[in-house]
Amino acid sequence: MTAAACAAPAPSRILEIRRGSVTSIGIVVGAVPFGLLVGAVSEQSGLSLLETMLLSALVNAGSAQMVGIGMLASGAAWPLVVLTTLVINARHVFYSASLSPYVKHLSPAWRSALAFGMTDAVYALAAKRYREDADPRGYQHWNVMTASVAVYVAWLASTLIGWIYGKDLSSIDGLGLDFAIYATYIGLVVSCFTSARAVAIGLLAGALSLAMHQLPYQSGLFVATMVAAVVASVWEGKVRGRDLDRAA
Amino acid sequence: MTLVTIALMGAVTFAVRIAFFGPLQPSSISPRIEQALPYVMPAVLMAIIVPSVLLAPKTDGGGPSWLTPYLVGALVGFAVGAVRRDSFFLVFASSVAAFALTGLAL
Repeated sequence: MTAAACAAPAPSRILEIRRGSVTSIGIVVGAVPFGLLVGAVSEQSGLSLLETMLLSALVNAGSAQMVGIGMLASGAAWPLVVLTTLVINARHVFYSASLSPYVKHLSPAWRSALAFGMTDAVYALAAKRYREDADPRGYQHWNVMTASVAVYVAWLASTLIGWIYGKDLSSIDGLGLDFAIYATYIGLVVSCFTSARAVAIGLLAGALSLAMHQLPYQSGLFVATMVAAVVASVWEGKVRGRDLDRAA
Repeated sequence: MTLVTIALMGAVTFAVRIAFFGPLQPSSISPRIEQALPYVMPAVLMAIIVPSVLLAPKTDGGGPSWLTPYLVGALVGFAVGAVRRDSFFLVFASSVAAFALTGLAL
């Protein structure tokens, strides 16, 4: 056995790909009804197939697309559409910051590809995987990439089918298939409730988001996360300060 | 024009997703922000889950109007998660099962 082989950490690349495909089942099942809905709404709003598919291919973010379709269809000024997309997706800055320590050793191509596919659901899977195993020698990025590709393919396919069968899909909203994505999020969120503080910050964000759900362009989600993150930072700072005092 | 707008929408989305994956160095993250990072995931996920579950469509059946399959599914998921925090599939499966059964029952 070579030295390199000895240093190679478990689990292997194949194992990570296999794990990634298994854990992505929930988010793929959750993404399909949303993709159908986006495609159907887009068709009914009068967007062409090319425009609809480009939205799913380039933006790859459900809630931003949903709002964007409405604005494009109503002829909103393009700077407003782009700015709104930025506001809705601003939370991704947090994802990028929180995962950056784990991807900094990867090549620019890998980092770009991971960033492109980093939807809410993929981020949640990635954060869980890296929390379990932060070893930079590992193949966790293959796990994340597998989930990312699976969701992307499902997203494009369901958008296409949604656009083609738009008129027949008006009842898809009532089936409750979207619950699969919330069940996935619950499974992921309980795993990060490792302290009473984490639970409290989660509950705070949930309550704020509920209180602000009527704010336009889903900005309530962003504001709630922002406020909860500031509270978490201050709280964590106080606790760390107290620990330092105790140590001294 | 619409196609250009769509391309720009894609560009700003990619920009926020890659922000700290290269263009901005992780070392430029202030300690204040760094302290908050472990809490980003619970905060974002709960901010998505809570309104989606509590504002879910009401059922037409006989039960109380606040008792939706979404709420029951979520509560069962959290309850199982409180006992078995790291069993992702157990939490996911019991939550979906509770959702489906409540949907049939109501």
